[in-house]
Amino acid sequence: MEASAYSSSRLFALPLPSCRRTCTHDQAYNAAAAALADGHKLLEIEFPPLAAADMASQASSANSIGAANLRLATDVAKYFTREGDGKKVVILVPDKDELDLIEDGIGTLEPAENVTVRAVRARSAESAENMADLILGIFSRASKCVSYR
Amino acid sequence: MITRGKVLPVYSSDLYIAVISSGQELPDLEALHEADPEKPIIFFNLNLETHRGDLGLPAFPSKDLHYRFLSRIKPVYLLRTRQYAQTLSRPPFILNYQGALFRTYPGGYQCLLDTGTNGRYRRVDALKGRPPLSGFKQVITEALAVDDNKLLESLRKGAFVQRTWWEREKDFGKEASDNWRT
Repeated sequence: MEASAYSSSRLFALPLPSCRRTCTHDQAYNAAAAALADGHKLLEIEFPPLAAADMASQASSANSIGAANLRLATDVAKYFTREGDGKKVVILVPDKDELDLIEDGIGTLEPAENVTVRAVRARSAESAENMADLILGIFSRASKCVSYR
Repeated sequence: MITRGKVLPVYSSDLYIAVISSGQELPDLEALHEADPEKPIIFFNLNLETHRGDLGLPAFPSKDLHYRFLSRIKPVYLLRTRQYAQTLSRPPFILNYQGALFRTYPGGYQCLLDTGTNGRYRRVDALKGRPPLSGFKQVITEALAVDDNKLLESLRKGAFVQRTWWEREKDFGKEASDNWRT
């Protein structure tokens, strides 16, 4: 393992966040903004969307984790839209079926000003090019042929 | 093969934040990036590390997805906790412990050990590059400084270095970028 030459650097002075709000409102946004300023285009943000006890609980489900992630992503998005030039942020979900679930859940696809929720891909039935595509779209989400308009 | 029809770029936006996508849907995000390459994409809590493990399995994208696309994604904010258990040759025979890998861009990767007191963590190492999964576990485990039977310790570690296929240094040449580990 590489020696910890960075251990005393100011780059490691940032403490663990004390709460999830700090994750999104402060550290995650600042880290992403710094990376964007350096020219990076593909960024990853990862932190527990729920408290550890909730994540481990049988009562939590993919839907509850997804809903938490949507709320947290909206929080981060708001920081970008509040920048001086008023960015427009699109939160992407996998497909229109998921989009419908979200709209049913939160009642809107515009959770904040200049923040919209959209689907990455069209509905399976709308985009199927043949019967095989339609059947595969029902039973599997594996993209054997990804297309764009 | 990419043909026209399914992925829907939003050209009027300034930034994408992708949520909820599963491993099978990651190729759609790749297609989106190719359709709109100047638009940043934030992969938000998509558990990319877990999805890498699924690549190459039936009905999942191939491992090449990591080499050509996922390797280009820079982890700018990473807070990942892991729980472990160590068997001991003496009471209490099982020791539960946990650690956290913490990174905020442009800083490096901190390996933190939960001290067990009020959720406090102690930094046990700080690295320029992302440690492999087994390496992180080794750092955290050694920081416990538990004096135990050496034979048991060597049996726990095993005879071979265990790395996931995407962490193997001999395959780093296949990557489009080292962003994912720097």
